[in-house]
Order: sequence, then C-alpha cells, then structure tokens
Amino acid sequence: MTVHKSSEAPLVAGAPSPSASLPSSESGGSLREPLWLCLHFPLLALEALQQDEGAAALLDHSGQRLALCNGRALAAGLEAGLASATAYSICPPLQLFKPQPERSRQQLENLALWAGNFSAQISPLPPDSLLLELGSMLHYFGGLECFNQQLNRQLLRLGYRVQRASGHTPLAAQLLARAGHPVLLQGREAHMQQLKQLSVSQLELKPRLAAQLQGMGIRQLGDLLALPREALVNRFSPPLLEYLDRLSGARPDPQPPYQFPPQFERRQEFNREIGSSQALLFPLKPLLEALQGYLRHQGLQALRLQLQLDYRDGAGPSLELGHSGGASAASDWLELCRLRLESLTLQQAVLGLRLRVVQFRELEATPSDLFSQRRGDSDPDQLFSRLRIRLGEQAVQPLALAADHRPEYGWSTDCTANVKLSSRHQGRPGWLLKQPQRIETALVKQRLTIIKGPERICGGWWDQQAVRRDYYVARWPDGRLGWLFRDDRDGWYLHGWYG
Amino acid sequence: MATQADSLDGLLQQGKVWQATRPVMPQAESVSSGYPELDEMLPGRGWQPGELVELLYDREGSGELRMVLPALAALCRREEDLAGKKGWLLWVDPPHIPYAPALAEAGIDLSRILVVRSNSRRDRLWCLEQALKSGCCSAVLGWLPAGQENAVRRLQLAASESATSAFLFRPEACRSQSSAAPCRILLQSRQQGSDITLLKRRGGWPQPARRLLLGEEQILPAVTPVVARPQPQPVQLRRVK
Repeated sequence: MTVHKSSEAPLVAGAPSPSASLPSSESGGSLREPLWLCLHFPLLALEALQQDEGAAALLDHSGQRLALCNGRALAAGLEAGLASATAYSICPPLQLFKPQPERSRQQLENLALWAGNFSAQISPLPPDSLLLELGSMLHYFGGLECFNQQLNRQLLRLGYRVQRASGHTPLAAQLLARAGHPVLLQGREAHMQQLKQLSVSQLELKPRLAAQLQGMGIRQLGDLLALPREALVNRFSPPLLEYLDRLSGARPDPQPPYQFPPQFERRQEFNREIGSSQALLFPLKPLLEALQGYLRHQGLQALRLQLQLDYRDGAGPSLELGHSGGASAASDWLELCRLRLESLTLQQAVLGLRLRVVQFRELEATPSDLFSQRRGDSDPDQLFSRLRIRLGEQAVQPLALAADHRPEYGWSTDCTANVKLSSRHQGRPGWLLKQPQRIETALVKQRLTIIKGPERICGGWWDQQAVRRDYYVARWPDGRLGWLFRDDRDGWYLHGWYG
Repeated sequence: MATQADSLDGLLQQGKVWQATRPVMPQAESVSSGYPELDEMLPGRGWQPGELVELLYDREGSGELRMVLPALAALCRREEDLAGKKGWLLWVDPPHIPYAPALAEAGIDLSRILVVRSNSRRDRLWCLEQALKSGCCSAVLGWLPAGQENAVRRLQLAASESATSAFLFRPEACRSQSSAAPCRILLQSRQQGSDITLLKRRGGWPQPARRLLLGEEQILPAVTPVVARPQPQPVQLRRVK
C-alpha cells in the first residue's frame, strides 16, 4: 500500500488494509484476547450542528431548556437544565440549537467510516458512541501504545470531544467510556478492577432497578459482583444476571458490525449559508476524513471525486477532482479541493454539499525506496494532480512521439501510442514553431547561409493536410540555427529553431 | 598573531572561507552537462542539483536547449539505474513547442516530460515553486522575463530545499540585473558554435567567454564550412500515374 508521509498512516508500510486479512487466532500459540474500544462523543448532537468555536448549547425537545452545553458554555456558568432565557442573560453570545437527530445520526455514520482507519469491525452505538474491535488489530499497529498515539493524532484532527475506554467485552468498554474513565488496558482482570469502581448509577440500568439496588446499600458494581450468584437469581429478574454475564464476558455479546456501503457518497448540510468558496473547506474536512477511513478499510484508493454544491435556489456547480495515481489520505484530497475551490466563484450562498467517489482503484503495493536521495515529500502523481487542478486539464500535458512524417504531426500529447524513435525523427530541431512563419525569399537568398538540405518531406494526402516540402538547416546572420522549408509554391517558411 | 592565525585556520576548516587557490571538489551528486569543456568551467564538474542555473540568451536558437538536453538525459539514466520513483522533467511555459523527436533523440525519456502552459505570471511562478518544493521533479525548466528578482530568490530557495535541478531561461537583458541564482551563464550564438560566459559561479571567479559547438557538429554535415552556397530548386510537381 502507498503510505503517504504527510498523513498519519495508521498501518505499517506493506501491511494489508484492516479488512484484507486478519491474523489467524493461532498466531503466537495462544488465543488472542478479545479487546474492544469504545469512543463516546458526549457532545456529538451539538458538535454536529455547530460550525464555529463559540459557546453553544443544545435545547431539549420542548425547546425551553438546555440539554447539552459545550466547554465554553460550561465555563460561562451554564449547565444543562437551565431555561433558555436565563442562559441568554448569563451568556449573551450563546448559540442555541434545536436537536436534529438526523444530523447526529449522519455524523455518527461519518465517524464510523472514519474509524475504518483503525478497525475492520466497527459497530455504531446510537446516538453517540462507536465500538471498535481492537484485539485483532493490535498486531498491525505494533501494540496498544502505538495504536493510542495514532488514534490521538487523528482524533485531534477531527476536533470532536471524545471519551474513550477499552474493555474486554463490548459492554465493559461502553460503560467505562460513558463514565468518562480514560482506560486503555489489556486483559480481563485489569478491566474488571476498573469496572468494580463504577457506581450503580453509571451502569445504565433501568431506573427502578438502580433505585432498588441503592436501597439495598449497593453503591458500586463491586458490591453487586461480590454477592452470591444464587442470591441474585432469587432476588432479581434474569435480565440483570444476563447483563452482568455480558459485562464480565461469561456470556457472548455479539455486536452487529457496520456494513460499509459499496459506494462512497456523503451529504453535508450547513446551518448557515456559506458565501466564500474557501470557507467550504471546513465542512469538507470531516467528509474527507471519513473518506480516508472508508478507503483504508476497503483497501481502495480514489481516482476521481465529485463535489456537488447546493445553492440556495437549487443545484449549484458540480466539481470534479482527479488524482492521477489515486490517493486515500484526507490531507492529499483536502489540498486538491483547496486548489480547485480557489478558482471557483460562488454565484450564490451554498447550503450544503455532497461528496461522491466517481472512480476507485485497488490499492497496490508500491515498494518505497529506503536509500532514495531525493528530499521533499510528495509523490509525482500528487504534483501532477495539483498542477492540473489549479491550471486546468489542458494546461498540463505530457509529450510523446507520433508516427507521422509531417513535422507538425510528429509529436503528440498522447503517451499511450508508444511510438518508437525512428530515422524519420533524426536531426530535428529542439523547438518547433506553433505555426510555420513566412520568410521573404530575398532574406533567404541574401542573408541566410544554408548549410544542410534539402530533405524532402511529403505526406498527408490521406487526411487533406497534404504537405510537400524541402527542409533546410540555415544559419542566421547572428549565428542562430533555424529549420526552414520551401513549399511547392516556392514560399519559404521557418518551422523551428535548433535551440 | 598566533591567535589570529588559529582563528583563520579554524574558519578555513569550517569551510566558511574559500581560497581561490583551492578548486571546488567534484561532487558525487553533480550532473555532467555532457560537454567536457563546460564541465570544466562549472564548479563541481557539472550542474549541481539544488542550484538554480540561469541561462541568459537573446533569442531562441542560440543553443539554449542543446546546452541542457544532455544533462536531462543523464538525469533520466541516473534514475533508471537507481530504480527510484521517476521524477518529472517539467517545462513551464516554453516559448515554442518542445519538439518530441529531438528530445527523444537526445536520449530523454519522453514519458517523464510534462509541459505546462500557465495563464498568468502568477500561475507560472506558483507552478515553478510548487514543482521545485515538491521534490518529485528530476528537473524543472522555466522561462521567465526580466525583472522579478524576488521570484528568482524564492525559486532558488525552493530548489535548494529539495535538491532539484533547475534551469531558468531568461532574456539577455537580465545580464546587468542582480540575481539570486548561484550560477549564471550567458549564451551568445556565433557563426560557428556559441560563446559561453560564466557570469557567476559558486566558489570561483567569473570566466571569460569560451566558444563551444554544443552539438552543432551532429546537426550539420561533416564538411563545414560550406563554401559555395547551394542554389535550391523548387519542388517539381510530377503527376503520379
């Protein structure tokens, strides 16, 4: 696989993508320990809506009181449960949002795609958590510590507030993450130690059951687990036992994995209209991060993206972006988007955008050269794509030979033809003029010194561009060497320079 | 006195003072220009990657391409040997069409050439700088008008960062202007060959003009000079039966 140095490639160079192959469980002689990671995004419902950094809060369903406050709002003295009018009087620049479950659901799906960077099996836990199967992935990341570093870097880029925890069972990871215990451990015992400290209210039991337990003097999970099993069976309903077994790992707890869609197409709506094309990069960034996760998970690279903008009055422009060699890193695509958007003038304010991959490519292993002398960090395809996006497709062209005797058709920009160098290409000048330039016959006769020629070139009768010329090399009075011809009407033309 | 001599020796050892008597050592990275006489004049016995080379000439046809083509071919060959990822040979805004047959004949791998036609001066400089910075070009060739000292300085910085071979082709009028390019060469076509003047080079004095043929002998027939002017006859149209 191609590892772009500019991005945090999650996998070791040469390793297959997460889904491509899983190590056999027999590796190392012992069964792999199950390990799960839960990422809990406590402010997701709010952060999915907010587009800047200011104090913001989410209203509850009645629209009267605050349900969620971000860090700035908390610092200003707000808290959940305050009436919106009170909140405004405490913190006037506060932004209030109505809950939009659909938007948070979409964001969670984006995050699930993004998590393809890290795990082959991802289960979204609506409304605001993700569960990643980690046990089989640690081998590729080179241990928990390395994994954690890469995860941290990527989380920082995403900019969401996140609580994370590992667990030996899905439920353990989930509870620890929601409780805000930043645990990253391995092994059942270590996790059970942490779990025992959870209070009953953090167990996400039914309120009646939690009250019942507290009434019995059971404060922590440790207290509950210390009770004899028979007593629990007698006193409580079977679901509690089942719950405790799932938590400890005594009972399997299969998680439905997220099915990655066969096509990548994501929509993003904005809360406010965006009037400048550069400002579109901000909402685009999370989509590109999701794209990177999707591509890594599927073992693909994207060759062409389509970016469709929605104007206030309907469909806006549709931009196509291409990468000649295929790229998966979000940073590569973001740069191409930036270049493309620079040259775009918006006719109207934009309300949303849609990102779609038009063309995929299978990931190929490219050997990277350990001893390469060259410094600099981008690869040739990336430069080619950058130039094409900024200057236009026609402005950047390759160069190739063409199988034609006529000089003006002796070259082309089509490198697929694969024409070999032959005798008809010999002794040609380095510069060819775009159009042959007429020169006065008197000038040729009196001032130029013809030093080679004639070489007769005839052809083109087959496509109405017949050419019948005698070519000469001549020296100009100032010493320069030109390539000129006389046509069948005795007119002299300059056609090239020996530059 | 002793301390002064010591400090001078120290400076010499650090390489901060250059002595005219000491020639610049040929460097492993340098690319031969393909002309032994020219290599002799150049510091390090060839073009140095990372050093912007400014070629000044009056009008196209003075031998400016013939001067760099062998080096470009050498760069192509070198990377084939190293089996590294192939870098581009980027031509930014050439004044005419770089004629593929001539380039191929000079030994250049055409699949690595990219010709860029920018729309504005700004785009041209952007493109040159991006290409030099990226480090994924074997060589960058650009055509710049007179003036623009700042732009040249930026390009030199970008080239030295990525150690890319860079050639800037500029009009002869720039001769009297200052330039940040470490190597400046004036090219003047003559009745036989071209006069090459090193206006500026790193670690050496400017050099007087030298006459080089620059591959003219391959273009021209073996017998030169031509004494009698041949009188070309017009093409006779003959009806083909």
